[in-house]
Amino acid sequence: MRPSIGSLDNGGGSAAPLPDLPPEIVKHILSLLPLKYAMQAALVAKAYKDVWRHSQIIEFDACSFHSLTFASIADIIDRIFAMHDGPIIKAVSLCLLTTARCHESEVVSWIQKAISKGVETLILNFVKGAGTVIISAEDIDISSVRVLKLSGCEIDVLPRARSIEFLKVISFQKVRFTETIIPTLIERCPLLESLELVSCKSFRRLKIVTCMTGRLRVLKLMDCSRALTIEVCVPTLRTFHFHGPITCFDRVDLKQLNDVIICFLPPRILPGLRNFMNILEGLERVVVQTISATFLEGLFQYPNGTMVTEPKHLLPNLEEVQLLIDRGTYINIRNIVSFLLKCPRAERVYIDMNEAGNDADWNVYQDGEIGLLPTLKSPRFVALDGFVFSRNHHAALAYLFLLKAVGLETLVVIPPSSRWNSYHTRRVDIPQYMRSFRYMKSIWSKLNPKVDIKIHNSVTCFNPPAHIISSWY
Amino acid sequence: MSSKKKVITLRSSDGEIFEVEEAVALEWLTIKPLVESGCTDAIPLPQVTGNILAKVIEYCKKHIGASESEDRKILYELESWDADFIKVDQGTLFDLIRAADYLTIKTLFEFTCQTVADTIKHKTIEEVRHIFRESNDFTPEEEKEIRGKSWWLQGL
Repeated sequence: MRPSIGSLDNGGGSAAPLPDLPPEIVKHILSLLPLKYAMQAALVAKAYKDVWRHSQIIEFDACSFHSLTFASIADIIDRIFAMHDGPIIKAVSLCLLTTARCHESEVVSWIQKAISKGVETLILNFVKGAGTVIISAEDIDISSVRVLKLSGCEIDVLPRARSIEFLKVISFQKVRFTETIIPTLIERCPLLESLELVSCKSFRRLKIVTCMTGRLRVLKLMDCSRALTIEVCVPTLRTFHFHGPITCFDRVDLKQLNDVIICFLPPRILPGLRNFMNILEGLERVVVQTISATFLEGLFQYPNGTMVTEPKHLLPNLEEVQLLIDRGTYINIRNIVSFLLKCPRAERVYIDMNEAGNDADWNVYQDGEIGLLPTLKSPRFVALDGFVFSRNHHAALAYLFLLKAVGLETLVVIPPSSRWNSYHTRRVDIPQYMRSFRYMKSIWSKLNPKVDIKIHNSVTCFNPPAHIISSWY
Repeated sequence: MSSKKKVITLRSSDGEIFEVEEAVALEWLTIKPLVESGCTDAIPLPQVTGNILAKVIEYCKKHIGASESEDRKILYELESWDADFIKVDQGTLFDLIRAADYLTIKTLFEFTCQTVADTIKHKTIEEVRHIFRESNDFTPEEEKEIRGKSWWLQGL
């Protein structure tokens, strides 16, 4: 530690034993702060009054200014860009509330200003979904941009190939585009590493096919509910997240993956077992996996049936499994056991019951029946998220792991969170919850004294899962 | 392929001698010309102490080549290595920044500065002043004026 910290003079001939950072470096550090914080730093001392004008991260969220019209917001953003006199803008993130489609010229002028300063990350979020067709403007050169995230807008024409050839990350949320846009993007962006499509509902067919020399490693398709068929053949793919109906899962090659989220929405009629087996067979290299209860349901839909003939260890490399229990799914504890038996290395198990609400159809087990289930060797850490003490099936899950998971070291209980707003409108009474926890802990400890039973208020607090799914957007 | 790797000798302000591979030293733009000219004497670095120089060398050795790696596992490993590396007290952190600045090691400079920026992000003005050993040189009127001017920033 330094001998003295105080308001020492920082002059060149200072006798301080350790010189401080020169003001130029402090200015540089402050310019790395996002705009808002750089502006607050103006009050540190006179020397840093204008440091925000060099801020490399321009973030502006119009949602904080409900009362202002777009014209006044545009005026503020205009002023920010006009006063900015640093040489570099690394990232621009604008969240706009415009409902009219006539503001294209303003937005384009901001993008151009950012591009002239070499912006690498461009995030444009039109909260009301009325974004103009910004990047389609043929004359915009966004070749400095590496990360492009758009939300709530429309794209009809893509910029010239040379303008987008360096893109590495593309994320479209609630973006309207024609079916040809994605294949064209894949073709024109040879360096593309990550593609994320969330709530994009304008396409029916999606075909993502790349060659061995491509770079695409991450593909996330969430809530694109109008898609009828999805075909994915990407040999370099390592991470694949999917949330939607299984019916559109056409030809999807999952052989190389090591990180997967597959959340099928509960459909009325489940397709044949083969479909599920085919998906599962492709997943042998997966290390981290999140699945929905519908997936389990599909997999084990024929009681005592076909599964017996399948290979014993379907997911030999799986180390972490997260099970999401959707609303309206049928959930059978035996299926969870059967699945975990197929994963000999799954040490960490997360079961998220937050979204299940009251209407997930549980096959409730009596304590005696749980005793008859086979022993689970792999789980060492189990987290039950959205746990409600008064629900029998939640308690049954806890019993299952306490009684059957012979290697269990830690069991974490997490109270329901309000993140799925519609299902947990009432807040959890924490003191009451703590009392229930202490009472149950005393009982559970007798069942299995070796297990460390904990309570946490969020899944992110302790040993969080690899996939933290805050919501399905 | 390559013959025996060439080694460059460095002398810290407190007289400690360090040896680094030429490839590492070439990343340090301040001494790059000296290295390229084939200098064989120990290069004196009067602004960097031995313990800081040791850390700088440790960082650069770890990063050489690894940053460009495509392998996600290597990058992930590097990230957690970095996180451990930077768990130092503030004095050391500032010394590292100064050393990276003096030696013109861009990666280390950006990394250390970003670390400071991340830590001060949620600190109060008073705390930030304390960290940079600045004192409030605004008059109450000036302070009020700045706060008033940026009314539209508060909600940003």
